[in-house]
Amino acid sequence: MEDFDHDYPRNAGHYIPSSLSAIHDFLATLLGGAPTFVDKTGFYPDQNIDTRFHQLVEAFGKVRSKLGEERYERLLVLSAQTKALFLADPNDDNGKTLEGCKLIWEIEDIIQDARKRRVEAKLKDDEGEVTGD
Amino acid sequence: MDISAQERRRAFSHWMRTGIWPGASDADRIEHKFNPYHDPRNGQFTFAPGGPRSLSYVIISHGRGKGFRTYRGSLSGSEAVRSSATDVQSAKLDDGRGPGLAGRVFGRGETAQLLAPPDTGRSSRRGGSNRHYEEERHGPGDPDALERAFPGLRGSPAGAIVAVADGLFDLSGPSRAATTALARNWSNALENDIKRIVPGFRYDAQFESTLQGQTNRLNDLRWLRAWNYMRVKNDYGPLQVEVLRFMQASADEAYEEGMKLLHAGRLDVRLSKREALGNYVDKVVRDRIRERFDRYRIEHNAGGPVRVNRREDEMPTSELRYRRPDARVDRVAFDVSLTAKNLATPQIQGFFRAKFQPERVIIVRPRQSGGVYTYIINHPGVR
Repeated sequence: MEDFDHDYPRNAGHYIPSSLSAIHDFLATLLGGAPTFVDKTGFYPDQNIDTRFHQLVEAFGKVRSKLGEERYERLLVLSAQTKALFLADPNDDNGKTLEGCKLIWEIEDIIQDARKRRVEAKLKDDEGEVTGD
Repeated sequence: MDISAQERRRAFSHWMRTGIWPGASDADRIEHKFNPYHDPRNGQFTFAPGGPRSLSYVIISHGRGKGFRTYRGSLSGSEAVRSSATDVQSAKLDDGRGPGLAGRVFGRGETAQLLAPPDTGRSSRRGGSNRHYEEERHGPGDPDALERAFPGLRGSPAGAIVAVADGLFDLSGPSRAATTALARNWSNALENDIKRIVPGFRYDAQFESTLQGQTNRLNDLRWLRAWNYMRVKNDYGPLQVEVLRFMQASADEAYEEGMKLLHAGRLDVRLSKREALGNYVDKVVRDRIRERFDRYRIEHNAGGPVRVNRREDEMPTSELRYRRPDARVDRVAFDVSLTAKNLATPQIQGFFRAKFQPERVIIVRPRQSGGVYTYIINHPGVR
């Protein structure tokens, strides 16, 4: 029997995707939350556009070496542009949210391109497997 | 009896819940037929093993002592689960070996309480012999093992496909149970469950007054229970149930969001709209379960038994032979899908060949799919 550590299990910080495939999945939830990113599930009451894009940029930083500098810089620019478009359409009624979604598609393509090249080069992930991560 | 349509609907609803037609004369009624797959604790329907739309045979009982008969049910397009394995399952179930198949006919005065308590499969593992009575006291049961989430799973034949209990996914249980008093009892029951293995456990937050707050509390306690059973007892059963519950809720929400995105032209459609929607649902569910694991500090990136969308090599090992289940918890693989899959599906066969030797694969489909949306497939060689 063990005593319960009251502080331990819950992580108060925001989740940061840590692999290319996890970022690819994360981008889908960005599409679904645009443009305001207010959580409808009740699980993440503090979630908003700032926290979501913070997660995205931090995630890019985690896989920076796998992306390469050129892609990394491009992703930072695209994410800033996407966030600006969503901020300019808070009521989702002027078409800029759709423009932002298309930029997310572009971000997806860059991530997928990086994964494809890692598979072609037989570069291994953190488990020593060739998966694109 | 001459009654209005509205009264008839009300009477039918009452009959569905209780088996008693309001106002019916006792004189000409000796017996009442109940659906045997009612949950006796809350009156909600559960499924027969496999469910009527996932099997090519449906089993019907004819009352006490008259055995069973089967008939070939209708299958509809993609909803149908086509597999020789399901036929095998049906055949095996038909000989009466499946659990809980007996149609029950109750005489007047007999009640649902006379039903045998569900086989929880936990008394031998956790010493919870009085759990059923605790549930009776505290409120609706809260499944903490797959055997309780999938009625009929325990003892089901190899390769069986068993449908999930519908009520599992109500965040606050049966709708009638959404009361503060019941939520409080339920919360206490969950806390006591954790205290059994961690005596010092204390849930500090004050009891919330809103339904959302109470729901969040119950969900939090469920995850804490799962976390503690995993950490202290190396028991992944409760976590498997919470992962299933969470993935189902996420799939339902993602499907609804995805449909809106499709209509708004915000999904990148390449092959087809359905493919785009399916990819969207997969990705959202994986992202949310990673986030949830992260919230409870459940390691899912290393080579442990909890993983999300990681490579699982097939046996015999080969560089080219591997699968990526959407999630894995110990020896259970989870796959999110818009389409039904079964043992004839190469992907499912591949999962069962994986090195981690899964005992079961759970197919999680959005509830909007209708019919038997989510079900579990036993390993073809494991009973």
